[in-house]
Amino acid sequence: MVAVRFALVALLALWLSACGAGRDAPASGAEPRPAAPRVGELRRLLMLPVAYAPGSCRWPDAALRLDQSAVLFVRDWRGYEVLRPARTEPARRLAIALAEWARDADVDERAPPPLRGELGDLAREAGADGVLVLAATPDCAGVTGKALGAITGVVANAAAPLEGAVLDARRGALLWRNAVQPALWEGALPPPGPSPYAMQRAIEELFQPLNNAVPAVLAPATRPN
Amino acid sequence: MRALPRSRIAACGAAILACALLAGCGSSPDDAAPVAGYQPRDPASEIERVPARRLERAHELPPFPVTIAVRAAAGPDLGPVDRSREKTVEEKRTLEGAGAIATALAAAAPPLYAGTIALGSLLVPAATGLELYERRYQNTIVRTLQEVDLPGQVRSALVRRAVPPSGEAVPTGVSLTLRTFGLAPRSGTCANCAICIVADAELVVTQDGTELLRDPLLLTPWRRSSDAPPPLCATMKEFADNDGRRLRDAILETAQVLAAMTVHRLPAAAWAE
Repeated sequence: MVAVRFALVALLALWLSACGAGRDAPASGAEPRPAAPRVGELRRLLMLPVAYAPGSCRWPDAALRLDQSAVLFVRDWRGYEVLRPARTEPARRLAIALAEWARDADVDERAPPPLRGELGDLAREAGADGVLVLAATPDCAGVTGKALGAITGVVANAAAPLEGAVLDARRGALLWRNAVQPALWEGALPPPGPSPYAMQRAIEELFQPLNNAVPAVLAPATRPN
Repeated sequence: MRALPRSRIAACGAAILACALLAGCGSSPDDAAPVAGYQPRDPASEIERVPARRLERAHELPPFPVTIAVRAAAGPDLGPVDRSREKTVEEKRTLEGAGAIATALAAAAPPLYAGTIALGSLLVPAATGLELYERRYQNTIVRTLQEVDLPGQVRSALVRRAVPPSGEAVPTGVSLTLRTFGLAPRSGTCANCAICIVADAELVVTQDGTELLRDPLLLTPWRRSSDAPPPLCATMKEFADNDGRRLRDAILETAQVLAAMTVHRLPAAAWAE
């Protein structure tokens, strides 16, 4: 009987000591991966058309206002040069697909090959070294609708109303991502939706954590595009 | 023709109604709603971009050697709040708030670009609006600003880049005067609002007593030189955290930027590659 108890205690001790051991310790001798550029090291961002899913909202100019506010903020307050895709429709489709993918992707994760290819082509055409994705899925449901949405959101990982992502055009990898619930979008907003100021505030809320671009005067003159 | 019984008509009607209702529930009107199409069109900037002048070199002449002088303006010289850039109600409120602070501290503050919070103002607890910021953050910010010598950093950066004068050529004088350096609210004065590093310097180049160039170097939220990057902004807390590390980094970066702008504007001078 004593032996059995001793064995049980020993087993418990072993199990407890195993709990303390890290599972994610890096394998010794693993080659370090080449350092990915940080988001501030990008200079020329290709701004894709806003991936806008109006849902139950009737905000006719929302995509346009978001687009313009984003361009202003990223250019004037973060110091990136903003470029436009030459072909709008493929860019819009790519924006929708990238926004969907980026929602669950980790930073530094590369996009699936087909998306990566399209992204690379568009960026090369525009001479961009980064790609900016902006997705808006506003929710104008009433209180009941929002409660139901909250329940389904727990289960289905519902999208935040405003999401942004920056990708490295060369590698097709996610460098930065953020999602916000804009404070001024709360409540059932009738058409035409939030005011231009509310749109601008939402964009600032979203891109506030984005690092400034390395100032052009400090960057080497011949940066790879 | 035999009439259908009333009960069967009612049953059929109920079935049709139920089917219609179910079909209606299944279809979402939103699916069919077209997404408002738009053609991207870049908006005009609200930032006033002040053109940057350059001192070019004639092809036949070699680059001229330079001597560097960097100084900070001294003495209280606070101008009125500049309202010419007011764009929105929010910005107007900001300027009014900043103006109140500036007016209250006119005697104590260092020379500043109008509409900004003076560095010195943070030391004065009675001034309007300063109760927004926690005292410990103020103390850290002020201490950091006192510790980091911006003119010294700019001077070092420029001296490192300049080719030392040699031979008999008379060096050209490059003088940079920091007229304003401080923190300004980006769009509103509140405890969690972003404040930005601002700098307003004047570049003067002289040769044999003749002035060759006089040009401002502006890094402010709403008015900046065309070769200047956006100002570095953060909340008071973010600047103060980790013993003011972010503010320290921002000041050092500002020094590098001012030096680089100076070099860019003087391609005629001899700079190290």
